[in-house]
Amino acid sequence: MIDENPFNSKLYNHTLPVRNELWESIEKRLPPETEQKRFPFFWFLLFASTIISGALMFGILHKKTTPAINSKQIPSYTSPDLSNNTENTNQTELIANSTTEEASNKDLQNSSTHQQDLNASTLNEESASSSNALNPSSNTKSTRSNTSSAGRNSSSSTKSNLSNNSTSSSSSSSSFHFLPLLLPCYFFSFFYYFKTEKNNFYSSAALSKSVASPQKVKFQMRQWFLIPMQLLQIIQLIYCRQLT
Amino acid sequence: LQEKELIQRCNANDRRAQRLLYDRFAPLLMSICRRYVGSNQAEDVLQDSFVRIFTYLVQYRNEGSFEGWVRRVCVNTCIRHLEKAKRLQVDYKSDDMPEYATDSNVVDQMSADELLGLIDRLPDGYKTVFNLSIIEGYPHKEIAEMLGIEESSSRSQLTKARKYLQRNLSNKVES
Repeated sequence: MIDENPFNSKLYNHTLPVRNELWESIEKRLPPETEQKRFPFFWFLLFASTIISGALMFGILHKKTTPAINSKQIPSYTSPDLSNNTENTNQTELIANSTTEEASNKDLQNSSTHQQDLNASTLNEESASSSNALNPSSNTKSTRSNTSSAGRNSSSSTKSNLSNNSTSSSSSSSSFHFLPLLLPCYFFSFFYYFKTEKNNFYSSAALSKSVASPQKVKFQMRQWFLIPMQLLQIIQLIYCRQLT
Repeated sequence: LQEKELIQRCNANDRRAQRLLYDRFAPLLMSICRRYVGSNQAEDVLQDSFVRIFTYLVQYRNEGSFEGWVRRVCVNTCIRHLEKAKRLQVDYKSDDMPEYATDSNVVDQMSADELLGLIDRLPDGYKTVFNLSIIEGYPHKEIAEMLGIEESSSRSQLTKARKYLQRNLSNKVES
């Protein structure tokens, strides 16, 4: 009778040399490697969206704090009916000039009244300070007059701010038109990440259980760092939309 | 690389990790393929085995040894190949072969390559059952399920394979 053990012990872990060319033929039959293409595209998308949204946000905030001088630069207005008519171009120019002149006159009037208000308020302040120095009991009256003048000033300033906003929004509205395009861009990049890296993402618990290596830690950090970044971008976008 | 990380990266279709896994297991699987299907078709079956390993690696749940899982995939690929080539035929003839008395020391003194040559001379049906039972260590119930035969058939095939080997060994000793 043949003993079973020699066969098992000699052949169970027996190895044979393999030709190097065999791997190449196996590689041809495997699905193509797409891992290297995924992340650069994702990073590019993330970087581009961050830059665009950041620039837009900076633009919005910058335009909101522009001085009131811009409000006086009223854009020339031509009615579409008149501008379409080629024969009446001179007339339209005249009308446009007259409208701009009227508008500038109105602005000048507004600015003069605004200046008067300012003068009045400064005078009130000066008088108040002098009266305060002479008579401390008149503080309440002076404060009332200050508040009333301040109220008037604030009302006039809010009007000028509104005119500022209207002009700035009209000038920057063209740049905000492509803001809605960013939203799908964000969501696309977000879901693209989850779709492509779903297996790795959901098995991160298994990854954390095993012995960590530097590459793995790097990968995990990259994974978890991207999610708040994406959320931050979406919040940033919503904030941009609210400002507009 | 740790084994789990290697599997993880192979599942992510990382070619370098797949190459590492190939380098680690190819010589062992080559020997298995050689035992089951012979030297002529061993490379083809090895290719199929690795393609199947990389395809179904997602299904591996870290239960049991990974080497055992890889071996199992390779053995199944070999059996599938033999079935497709209609080489896996069970011999239902009556066991009329006489037993030959052989010295166990003869087998002990033989090298692995000599034993491989000895197994190679067995008919495919006998060889498969012998490999599965004696070398891989599968029970007859599992062998019967793998080959789609009765458990008793598996036992009878193994008995015949042993007698066949005894005869070959005695001839070799005489010569």
